[in-house]
Amino acid sequence: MIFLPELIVVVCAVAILLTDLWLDERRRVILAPMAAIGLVVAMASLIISVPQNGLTLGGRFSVDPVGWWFKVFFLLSGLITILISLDLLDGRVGVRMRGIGFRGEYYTVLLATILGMMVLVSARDLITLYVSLELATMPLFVLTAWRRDDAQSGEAGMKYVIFGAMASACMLYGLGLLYGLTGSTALTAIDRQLANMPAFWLATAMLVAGIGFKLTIVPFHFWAADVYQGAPAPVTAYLSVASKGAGLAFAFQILYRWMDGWIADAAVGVAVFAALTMTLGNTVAIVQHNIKRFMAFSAISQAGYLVMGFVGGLPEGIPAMLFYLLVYAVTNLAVFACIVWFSNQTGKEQIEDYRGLARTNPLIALTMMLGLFSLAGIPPLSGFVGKFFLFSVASKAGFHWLVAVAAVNSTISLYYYLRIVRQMYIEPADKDSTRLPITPTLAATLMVLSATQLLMGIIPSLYETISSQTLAWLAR
Amino acid sequence: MTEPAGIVLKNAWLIPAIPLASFVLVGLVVRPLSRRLAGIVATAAIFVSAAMAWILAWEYFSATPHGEPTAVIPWTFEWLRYQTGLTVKLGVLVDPLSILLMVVVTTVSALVHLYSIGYMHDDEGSGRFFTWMNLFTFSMLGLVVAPNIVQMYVFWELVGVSSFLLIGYYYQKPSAVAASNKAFIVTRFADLGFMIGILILGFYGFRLFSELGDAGLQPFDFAFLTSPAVLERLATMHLGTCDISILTLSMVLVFMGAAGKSAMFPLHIWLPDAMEGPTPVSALIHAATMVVAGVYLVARLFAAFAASGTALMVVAYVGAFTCLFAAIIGLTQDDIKRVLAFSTLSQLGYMMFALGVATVGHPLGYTASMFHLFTHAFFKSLLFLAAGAVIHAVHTNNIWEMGGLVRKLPITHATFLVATLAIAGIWPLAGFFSKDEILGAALDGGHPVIFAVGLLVAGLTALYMFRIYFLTFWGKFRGMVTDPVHEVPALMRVPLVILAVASIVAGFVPMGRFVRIGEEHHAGINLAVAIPASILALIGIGLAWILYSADGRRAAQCTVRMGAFYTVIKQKFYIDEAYLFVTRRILFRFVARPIAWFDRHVVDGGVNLSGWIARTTGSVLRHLQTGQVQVYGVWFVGGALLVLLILWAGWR
Repeated sequence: MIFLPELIVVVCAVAILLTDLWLDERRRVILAPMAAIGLVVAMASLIISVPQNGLTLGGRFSVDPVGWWFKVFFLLSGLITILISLDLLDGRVGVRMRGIGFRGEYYTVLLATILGMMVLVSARDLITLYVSLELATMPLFVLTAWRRDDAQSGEAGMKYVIFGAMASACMLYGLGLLYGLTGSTALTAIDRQLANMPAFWLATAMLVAGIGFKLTIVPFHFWAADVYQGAPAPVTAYLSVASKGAGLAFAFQILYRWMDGWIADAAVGVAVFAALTMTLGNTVAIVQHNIKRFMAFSAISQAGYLVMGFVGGLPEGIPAMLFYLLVYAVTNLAVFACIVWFSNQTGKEQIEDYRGLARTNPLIALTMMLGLFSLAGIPPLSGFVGKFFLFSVASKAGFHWLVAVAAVNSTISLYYYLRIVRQMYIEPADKDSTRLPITPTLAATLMVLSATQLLMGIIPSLYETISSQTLAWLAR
Repeated sequence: MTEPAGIVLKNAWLIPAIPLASFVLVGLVVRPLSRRLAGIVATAAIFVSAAMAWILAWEYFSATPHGEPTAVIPWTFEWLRYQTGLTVKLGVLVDPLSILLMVVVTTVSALVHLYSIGYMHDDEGSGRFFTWMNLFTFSMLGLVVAPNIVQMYVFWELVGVSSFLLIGYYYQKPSAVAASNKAFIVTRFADLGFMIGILILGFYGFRLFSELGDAGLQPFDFAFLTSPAVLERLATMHLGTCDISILTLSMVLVFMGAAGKSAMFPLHIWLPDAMEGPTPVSALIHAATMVVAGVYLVARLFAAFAASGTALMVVAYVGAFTCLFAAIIGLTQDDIKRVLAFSTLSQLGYMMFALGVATVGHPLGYTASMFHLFTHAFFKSLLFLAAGAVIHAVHTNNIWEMGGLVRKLPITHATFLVATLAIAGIWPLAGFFSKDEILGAALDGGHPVIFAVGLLVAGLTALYMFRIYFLTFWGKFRGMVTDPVHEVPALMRVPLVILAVASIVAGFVPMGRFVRIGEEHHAGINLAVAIPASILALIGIGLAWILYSADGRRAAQCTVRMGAFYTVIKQKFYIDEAYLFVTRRILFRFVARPIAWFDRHVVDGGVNLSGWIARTTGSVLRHLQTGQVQVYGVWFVGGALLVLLILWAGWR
């Protein structure tokens, strides 16, 4: 059964919702482990199935190696998100945050988005594709506005809904136009004759805008900063990673399965958007003070690096993007785990609040520093390797100016990532600051994440596996 | 032709891996618990490694009794893949040369570790000492088993780092810190040449690889770089219109690295200062093992050096000059360890020129060089360890403050005498045989000048070694120390005795059977060489006895009569001062200062400007983020239109 992982996620989500009804508030602690175990089992069933090709549900649902790697990414980021959310939701925090609760619903909704993303990469039909995209997006609106009585969280949710609805509508019109032009909802390579029709350009432009919204590509990125800042920290973590992955998966579905090979003609456009995105993200991040908003702009710039993989439509672009996505998930979530922990313990989220963290909690400061350095792309951390492959795709496509822009941007990013490191390591701690406690779950998660991102930078086999499997699939 | 096989051979990677594991274990776990236990664990690990190295040698040579020796790579791991066909593997190469070095390194290292347990007994930081010693042993073994030049370079630098750490072991002492810096900087400078050499070799090797490459080989592998077809092509290639072939150029650059590590003139200046480290470090690293890495590198690439001819000449003459030069300085030094350091330089010169005089037709020098490397490791580490025992007892390095120790330190005296006789080349001790082969090879290869230098230095060696022997052990005690002088504890005596036995019997090892190029040869004693060399050695000893036996009074008169000449030698020909003059007066003033000015005013200004631009851009762009969803919506629509425009332009 090729949709076993999806089925497990569905069952787990329903089971959590039902169990929640029978438990009193104290016993709801078991919901987080349930969700985590559900994802682990789903991951196991996915891994046992190894990348394979298969088709079911009348050709509407199919699996292949590229989709397999996307699903690994979705399940992994979902799992890490649960591990970093549970302290906040179970109330094991230093400073209580109002309006956090409803654990059963939280995990159900989270699993629903994961399910949506997983189906998204497997869809072979426009209707399934659109429905799963909505399933992946709508729960995120809910999660963003999770703190009901917090004005900022509510505002963020509202903005997200409005902007998201606009993007959705835009995409739906695009898909509708394309259906009208091709007369089929099947997601298979379409006739190139269509390229002469202005209606086709309009449809493509609308779809690209929708992709840009999910991936936070300039100028479709505006929602990100406000939403990231307002959402609860674990949700921000999830948004910055999984939602971006979903956007990439959607882009992959549209650009590689449907408009197979057409992206090569739009290389200049992709390069311009990539350059704009990374430059805006990086320069604006410099002047931020709130760490979540800061990470929002950092994530925008990372999206700029990521879409470099599309430049020229080279086959090497896909493994490079998939690898970077995995690296980015581990690295960014490692940094976010520190941010979540810090806001749990102190309730603070300004960059200046991190001063002297290396004195009071040296190990956490170290993992955060490693994560930030990896995001900046310093060897031998995995972020460097990931960027290296993306840059080499751009240079292979002949876009040397883009590589130069990206390199300059990496330097700028190092500057602002170092701002946080400077607060942690160089600025003196407050006199009354003491060592902050950390729960064993979060400590273990942090350790595993740090070790993983280090290993991914040193051991070449992960990239080689992704590369050989996806390239073999592309050359099918 | 059977492929050598055996359990240890299959698992040869364990030989470097055990010291590595022990380094991690001792450094992270054991050292904080107990520094005594750290010494024991570190020593035990090296002993296991040494036992494996000996078994490996036995397995290998019993499998190939007389046939052509084959190189086996029992373990390899792909480490870096630049592109298809350009990969670097980490691996373990087992051939006679690497086995020889593995045996020498692990054996001497094990004995020095054992000795150090006693020597470092009262030192608070001995846990750190053993950690670095293990790191060094691992690095040296990694260097020795390298199947390609990149792995060798990596471990080459690791060896340099551990040497740096150990020279600066007494980091509270400014002189030790200065010495460790000096060693690091000088060898790094030399390694720059090595690195450029590797890059040139790699670049041209990779170009040739597509046509000459063999399955299972990589462009950086020694087996590829020294294959005749590649060498022939490299020798005919030229850099632009330059007269020097690529082969010669890269080999001379590689030799620069080798000369730095093996302290050949004029890059020798770091080695005497390196004696600031603890004496066991001097014995292991700066006498027996690390400093022979340069010799080993030349031997490893011997086919390439031989194919170049010119590069081999450079090796021969640099070696011969260093041999003589260091021996002359050795005659005048007062610090016992420094005399031994100059003696090491001189002996390394022997090994180098022995390689230099060898050719593919006359490969005797190759074997002789490796033979001398083998014997020298034993008697020179013994000399250092015995000197350490003396220093341990009298608390000074100055030979003029010693004397009359024969009775007080009987074992130390006996072992020191054995080593001194061995290095002086007295029959039947080890040094006699290896030196005899080297001189024979020089004569055989048609290098009368080098032969004459070697013969002269044989006499000088006996003279300077017996000078310190007589001053240290004979006559009356001239020191200030009032506490009674004690013989070293038993733990330190064991390695001394073992090394003394090795210094006596190592010469009887039929090296020509094991390490050779081409035909196996049976070394007989070459009387035409042995007799004059022995006579000169005896003259040297006699001269030393005349000058230095009676507390050196006659020598003092000589010194006065020689005047300025003596001072120049004693100041080591002012080479250090020349370096300082060049670096401080010329480089710093005329190169570094203008660059510093440029950096401070132009580069920093540029960096600050770009930082300012990025910040300002950020502050301007952030105003786009108004927080109003309507504005965002407008941007969204504008963006979609922009995409449409691009599509229209692109697909029209």
